[in-house]
Amino acid sequence: MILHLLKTDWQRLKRPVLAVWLVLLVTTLPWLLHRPDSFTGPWIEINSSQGPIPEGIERPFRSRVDPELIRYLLAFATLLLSSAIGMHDTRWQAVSPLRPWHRLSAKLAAILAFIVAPQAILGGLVLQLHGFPPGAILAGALGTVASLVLLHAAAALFAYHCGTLWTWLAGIASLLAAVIVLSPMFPGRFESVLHPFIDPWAMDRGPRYWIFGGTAVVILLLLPKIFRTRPGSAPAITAAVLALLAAGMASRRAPEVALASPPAPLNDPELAGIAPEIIPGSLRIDDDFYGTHPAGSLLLSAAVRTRGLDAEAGFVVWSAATRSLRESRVWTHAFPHEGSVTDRDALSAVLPSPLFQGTAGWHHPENQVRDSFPDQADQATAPLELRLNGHRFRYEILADLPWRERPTTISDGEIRIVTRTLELPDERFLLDTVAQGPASGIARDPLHLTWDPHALRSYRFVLHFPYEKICVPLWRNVDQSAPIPGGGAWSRRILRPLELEGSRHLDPAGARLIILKHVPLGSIRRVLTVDRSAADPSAGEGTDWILSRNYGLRFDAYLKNHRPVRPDPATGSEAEFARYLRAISGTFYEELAVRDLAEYAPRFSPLLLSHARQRTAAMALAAGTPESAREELLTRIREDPSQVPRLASVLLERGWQTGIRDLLPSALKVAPPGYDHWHTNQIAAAIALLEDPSTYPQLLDFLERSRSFGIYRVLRELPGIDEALDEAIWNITRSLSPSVELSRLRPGLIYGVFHGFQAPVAHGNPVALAKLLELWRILPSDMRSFDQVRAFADRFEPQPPIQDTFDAWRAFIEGKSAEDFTHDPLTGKWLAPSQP
Amino acid sequence: MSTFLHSLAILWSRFRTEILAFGLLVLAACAAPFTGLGPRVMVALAGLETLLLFWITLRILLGEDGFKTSGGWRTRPIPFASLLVSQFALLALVLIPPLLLHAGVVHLLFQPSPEQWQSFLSGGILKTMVGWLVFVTALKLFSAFILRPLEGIARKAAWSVLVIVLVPVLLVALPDGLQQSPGGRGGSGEAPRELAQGIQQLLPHTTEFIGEWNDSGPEEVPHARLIAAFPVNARRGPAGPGLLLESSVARPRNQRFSVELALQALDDSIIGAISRDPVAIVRYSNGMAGTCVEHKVRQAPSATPFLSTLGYRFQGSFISPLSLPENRDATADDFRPVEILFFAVDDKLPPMTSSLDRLRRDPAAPAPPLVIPPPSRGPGFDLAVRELIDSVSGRDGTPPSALELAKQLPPEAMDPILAYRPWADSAWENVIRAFLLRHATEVQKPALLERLALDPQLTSFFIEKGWSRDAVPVLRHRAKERLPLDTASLKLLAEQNDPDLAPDLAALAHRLNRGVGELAPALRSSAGFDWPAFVREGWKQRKYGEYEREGWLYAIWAAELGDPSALRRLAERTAEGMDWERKQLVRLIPAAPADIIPYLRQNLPQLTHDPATGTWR
Repeated sequence: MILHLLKTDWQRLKRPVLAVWLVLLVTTLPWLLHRPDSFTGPWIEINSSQGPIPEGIERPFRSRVDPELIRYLLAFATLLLSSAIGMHDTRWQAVSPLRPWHRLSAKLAAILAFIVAPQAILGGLVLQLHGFPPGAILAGALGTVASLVLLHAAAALFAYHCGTLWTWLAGIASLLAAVIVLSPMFPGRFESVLHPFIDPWAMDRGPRYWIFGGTAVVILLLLPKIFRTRPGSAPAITAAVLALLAAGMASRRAPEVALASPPAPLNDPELAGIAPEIIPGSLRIDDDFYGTHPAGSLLLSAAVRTRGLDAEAGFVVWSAATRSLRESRVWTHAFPHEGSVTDRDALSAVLPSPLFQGTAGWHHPENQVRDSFPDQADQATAPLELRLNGHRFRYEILADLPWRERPTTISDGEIRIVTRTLELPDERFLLDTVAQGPASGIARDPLHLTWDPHALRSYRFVLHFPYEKICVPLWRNVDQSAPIPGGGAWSRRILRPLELEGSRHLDPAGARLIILKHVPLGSIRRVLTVDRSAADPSAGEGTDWILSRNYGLRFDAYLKNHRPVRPDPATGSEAEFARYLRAISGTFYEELAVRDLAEYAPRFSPLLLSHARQRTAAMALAAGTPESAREELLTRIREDPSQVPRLASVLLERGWQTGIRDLLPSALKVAPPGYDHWHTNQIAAAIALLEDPSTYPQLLDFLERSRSFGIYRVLRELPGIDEALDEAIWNITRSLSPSVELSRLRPGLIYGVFHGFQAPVAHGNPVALAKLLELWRILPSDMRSFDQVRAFADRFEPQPPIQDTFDAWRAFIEGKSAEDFTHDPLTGKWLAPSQP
Repeated sequence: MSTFLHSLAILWSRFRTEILAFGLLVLAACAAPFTGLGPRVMVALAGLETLLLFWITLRILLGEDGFKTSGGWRTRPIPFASLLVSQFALLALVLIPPLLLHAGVVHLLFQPSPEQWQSFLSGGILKTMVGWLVFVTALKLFSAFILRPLEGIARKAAWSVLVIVLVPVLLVALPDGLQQSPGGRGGSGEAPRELAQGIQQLLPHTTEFIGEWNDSGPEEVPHARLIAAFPVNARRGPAGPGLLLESSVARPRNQRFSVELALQALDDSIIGAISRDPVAIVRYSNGMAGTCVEHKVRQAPSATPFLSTLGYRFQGSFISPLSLPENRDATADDFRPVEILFFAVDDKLPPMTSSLDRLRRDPAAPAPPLVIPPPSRGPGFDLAVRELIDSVSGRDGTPPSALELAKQLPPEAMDPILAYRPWADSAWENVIRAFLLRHATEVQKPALLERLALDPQLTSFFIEKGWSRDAVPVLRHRAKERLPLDTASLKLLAEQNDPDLAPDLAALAHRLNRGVGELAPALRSSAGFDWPAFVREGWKQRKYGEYEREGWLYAIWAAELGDPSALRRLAERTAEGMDWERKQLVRLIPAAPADIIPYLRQNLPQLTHDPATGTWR
């Protein structure tokens, strides 16, 4: 009987079915014709592409036809067919003596045979042609079948309830109207009802589609039993529309990739003892302009770090565990941000050589977490509960290949990666990679490929120079990805190192390509209670009021415009003085302005303290604070130790550093290398004055980090530091690499290439001298300048003396090796004959 | 009854339910802006209206050809032309009254100027009409020439094609609200920069401009123009021609204020300028004006069906008086944002000269001419005296003759000079000191003593005047508080032989940049002064800190006292070619030959100190 009904359907719908098959074939054709070993994608099917393809690489075919349009065509064609299957025979079947389950089975068989099976077979064929293993093909086919059957069954039932084409159109219009009315009221909840019907392969969402289709089918089957509606009647259409809306709501509640097993334990025992912590100063709470909460939203963003994790146990990435942010795929949060601190540490842990840490690429702050909250006026100060997912992971080396190699194929489970390296005249280190694997909805391990722009995210590519002992990360330049019909994903990346443009001496011949794989180890959920008041955008060094000061006020403007409105130091109010202070503290350093402000110090030291970053204000504080106010000032500093760096000069001038000696080393610790040299040298001097051997390790550590010549000159005077200083100088020398220093050099950046050499060379380290001469040798001639020479000329003493000109110095340096020099410990200079 | 009217009547009776429903919806949508309903409801109503219009169009046009709904027309044939005209006439009747109604609402809400009406009519309304007409014509052509004659499977195929085209059209016709957040832009706030001066001129009553106002810049800057001003926390209402303020809300965000504006506009003449590069300023209730630190803009869905008005939302984070250190105990209620203002460059006015505050520093600028005040007190005399002091301050290269002239100040200058403080060193040296020596009497002494408490430069004047006895208590107080003293003051205090002052004198002497050598004999002979401790501490400070602050003197003294690090520093300096240090070393190391550097290289670590003579062997 079922077969008979199926045959009837075929007889009636033969031509539409054939037409749909044709559409199916045409839309799948690009993939059938695509060569699997090609580095370009199939024509018209590239889903997303970012970044320009570098000159010299074959262009991918860019169609004028939007691939979305072609997918819509297929979607509407199949949808119309399933609707026709659902509605076409309602009139005569209503009176025919058929058992309901016969009818149901026959309709199901028709959907399977006319729509789903051809699509699954064609998808399987594409996967087969692309070399997918049979298991993946079968899984892909099953996924396609499961999603499509339910969707088309829902569409057929909807059409059945609508009855005729005319009423079916009315049903679609009613559905649209409902969505129009509901979606502005509940943003982001009802638009998605329409979405499943316009995605023909329905494979990227997997379980979500199954829940949508399943719920819709169940409700649509039960409705006529409960309400005894007649197909085509207004109650039937209304009920059908409501059923789809309800199914849409139900599927929103579904986890995105629920049926795929989590890649690692969910309540990771290794993570039991750890706690996430918001890095102070990183918390921001702002209006979420694009927020989803009806009454306006707050957007919380913060950098999160991990406390209590054993270094051996891996690294943790935190992400907000929220539904309100429209994040498409849950598991992508398990990856660290490329270029974040965690990423860098995790890479460093497995790479054979130190990771190059230039400025470009490493711009992501640590573990940035974002979440959105409703903005409720009555709870403006209540703490926010930030739910976090922590994902423990580590990198593993998947492959270590010579850089110059013919295209190489690497397999990682069901994923196949093909890489080739390109050497173009302008870019000698380009990497082109293509990966394909099962799409996430069906893949057993969702951490692997998805066909969104995050594809290939599981892998990191690093360029390794064994001779220079340096690893250089490759960053994404071009990203392309596309779904492969049948449940596969294809993606391509072109990557390049960001800071090696000028490094003509680095040789691709000796280089290696290291491919690393992201290995998930476990996950955990934690809740952080966030105090809103900690989210002060104006706290810290970037305080808002500092914007209100005058920038580099001219001295004549100070005299002419501001002195006439100077408040009386004895009687003026704090607000008057604050205004005056903002107006003149940015004056170019002038004794007169210091004396001017010093007169206010006895009354308004807190205000001056807050401006102490300005040298004028700091020196006014030093000059004007009476000794009797010493304790008060030190107490204020103790309350906010972050002020110590900018107050170092005040403390030194007054000899007050002993009063806060415990705070000084930590001030040095937070001072980033290169940070405002004047301040850091002052802190180092303040610590050195204590002549306390327990502070030496911190001072030496800072010397190694900053490589500062000024700090070196302070430290060498310390009693009993000689041996430790020798070691620190050796450490600096070892860390100096001419090629790395050179790779930081860019046109316009003339200062700093030789910066790190000054201390070890002055200290008399011959290896440092040899490296300095090597750097000079490999320095491109257009980069050699008198400015560069000046950076180290003081450390050389030609005998007899030479003229202080660029040509004379160049002639002196060129052709000399480290052996030609002898070190004079008395002056810290290297002597060499002027003539070769 | 003509066939046309007859057909019209038939169509009306057939579709009146839908048309009446549409009419009710239009009335609701028109009334919505005048009730308290939120923008979300208005967007929903607008979307529904559009959809219903499409639906009615579809029904009326396809009713005959597509579905043969009227059934009886075969028995009472209506000519094709009559049917066509009646269909279009009914559609026009359906569309035009709502359009007029909406136009009326727009007039009430936006209060557009006649030009805006004109451009709006030719732009928004025409666009809607043309778009709709194209849709209607295409649909009619399709139904009349393709759908009607077809029968059987071909008819089904045609229907399928129509559906595949129609459903996406319906989707496209959905209002913007259903599309995911249309392109928003964010960015750092646009600081006024070169507009700062122009804006400040336009806001003369502002007590202080807070935020990024005071960047130095070029010599010429443009004038500013106020584009729009919106009250903060205001209700919905017209905000200028063609502009409707839907809401403006300010919320305190810690030390800043976040202001959110929702606007609808008929054209982009104003909001275009606002959204491109908004220079936004917020005025506060205490008279201050704050700049924007961060802002976001985005297009919002239009809430006027058929008439595409531009929706626009601005959100900015503004510097507020709460961030100022002196307001640490204030709350957000003390400084309410009153108004948000948007500025742009005014091209119509020529550029103006930058004020002195804003000019970039020019080190090569010539010194201003010396101002010589009139010989007797009169209007402007005080100002002239101050200008004289200013013109001598921090300047070199003033001709000596002019300085001589400046010293001839009349005695009347005493008051303005004493009232002006502090004095720059050069003004003191070149003009004021001579003036005071000549004109100061016992009458001025209290005022001058007061001045001495702030400015120890006056000590030498007090000594010369024979008033040192009066100066000592004042200086003593300064010394106890460790406020800076110059060499002359320290010397005067050292001569007081007060053991109680000795530690203070040592600390203050360490702080001298210059002149400690001149002071040393007085300190050494002062009662209770611990010279070795003074030298030890001083050398430590110079060795780790700034050697340039006469570190060599401390080095000699420390070497005399037996500090090897001081001796080594002197040797290094000698080897670097410093002659003064070489001479000192020759004195300190009697055994050294004339060519001392090779000797030092060889023997420096072995040298030992002889405490008896203070030399090294």
